[in-house]
Amino acid sequence: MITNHPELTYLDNANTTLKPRSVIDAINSYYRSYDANIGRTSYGIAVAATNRVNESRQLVANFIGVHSDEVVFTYSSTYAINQIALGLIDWFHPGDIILLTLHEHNSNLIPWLEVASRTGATIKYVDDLNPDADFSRVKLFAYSLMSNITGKNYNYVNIARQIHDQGGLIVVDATQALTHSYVDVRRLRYCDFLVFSSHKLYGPSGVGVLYIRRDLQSQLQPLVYGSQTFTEISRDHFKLLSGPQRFEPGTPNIEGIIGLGAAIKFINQTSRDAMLDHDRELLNYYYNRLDHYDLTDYIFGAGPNSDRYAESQGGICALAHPRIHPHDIAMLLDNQNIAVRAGKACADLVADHYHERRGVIRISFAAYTSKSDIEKFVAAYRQAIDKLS
Amino acid sequence: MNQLLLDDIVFHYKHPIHRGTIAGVQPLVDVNRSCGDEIELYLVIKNGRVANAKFSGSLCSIANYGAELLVSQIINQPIAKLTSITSQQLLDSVNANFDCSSKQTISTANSLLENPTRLRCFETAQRAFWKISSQCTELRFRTK
Repeated sequence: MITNHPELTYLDNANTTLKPRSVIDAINSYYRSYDANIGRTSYGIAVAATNRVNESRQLVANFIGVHSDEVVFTYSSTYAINQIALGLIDWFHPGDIILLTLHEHNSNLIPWLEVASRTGATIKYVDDLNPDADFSRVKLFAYSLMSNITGKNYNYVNIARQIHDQGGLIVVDATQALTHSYVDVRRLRYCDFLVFSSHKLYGPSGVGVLYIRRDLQSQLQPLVYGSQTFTEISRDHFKLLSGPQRFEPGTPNIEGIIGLGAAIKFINQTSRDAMLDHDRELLNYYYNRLDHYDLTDYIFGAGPNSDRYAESQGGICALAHPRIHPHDIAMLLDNQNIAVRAGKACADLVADHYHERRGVIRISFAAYTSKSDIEKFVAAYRQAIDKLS
Repeated sequence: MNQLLLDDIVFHYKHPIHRGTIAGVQPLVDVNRSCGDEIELYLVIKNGRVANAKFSGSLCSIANYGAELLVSQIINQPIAKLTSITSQQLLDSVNANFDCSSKQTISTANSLLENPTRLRCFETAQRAFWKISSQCTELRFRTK
């Protein structure tokens, strides 16, 4: 993309990341050299495809600090969250508490609202509660490690411990966090499920990852049933597999999974430390340039509504002008080939929480983002609001 | 987006001609929840024609542009002919001006029609206007 569009300043990585050549080559290689289905036959190219998918599963497991038999491939983070929510639907009863936060992506909100609607469970938001509140009655706590609109990193370990110690479950959405920080399930300590999306991590779209703690897998009902998920089948009976394959019916997105494996290799080979250092450096530079152009008043997510549980920030930032519509600013930026997200960024509760009915301008960094990109954006933002004022 | 079109949009945003309210007239309202645009469209109908029209509300520049073009086109026109007005018709007048001034053969303003998100903004005033068919017995129009 960057080669073909040198004029483009792409700052919408929280929406989707651009794909490295190695990822594109890996997908092409599958189609050109071993385009076969997996896990069903034993001829050469089928074995090659199966091995590559297994390799991707192991790479993902190592990446997030879990065992490969705890990694389920889905189609997206959204699908993965739905798998958890609807897979546990029989576990909830009227009056049970599902704890969320006001900083969630809509995909980590709507499935839980649906579960509450169907079961009579009650939704509560951690931001509305006193930090000293009794969280032991919470049946499940679902939260994002990093906000997709402010980039803030959240630490709920004390709350998660209380919930976990009483038998509650913890669902962690790592979709944005993995691009901007280390995420290790073991170090999270209280994490029963974790989800992320391939396409936010330099991989192809159409693949999500769901970590399910091994002893919970048999308690989760699959969202979709089909072939390749059972140990026994007869005219009137089937028995599901016990491992992650019980949640992977039919033919998966083979090329996507192989592409995700290539993306993780890309990250590992580039050096995760270097990427995260780069992210921090860009963030510091960004705030420096905001100050230079007198734009700090428009930083979204600061101020008295800021979060008591946020402890740092990754390379996602937003600006909100009190009078100028973000779509208008984005329109002028687009005319200078600067790609940003305008609006509520699928985080309606966040926008509402900060009283931004029209949304924000959000920028987000990646490994290929440069200081020049940030300078162009900040200068163009200044120019846009001057033009529209 | 073509620079001519962009300049025209920004010009109308900063120098609207038809913004305002009309006392005694209940407006037609539309809200675009996905982006927060809210419009109130005021119409005065006399002898079956749009005698006066204004709009107000919190609008992005493209929604404002759509409203400006709509009001420009409906004033003094028979209301019966206007309920099926389309975005293409509104943009045809813009295209005529652009094509004439820049000697382009491509319809410049039609780029708005190709962007579903921005088209929805552009049609904010039209959505309010289309409600006239269902609400005309309830609206209090100023008539003489």
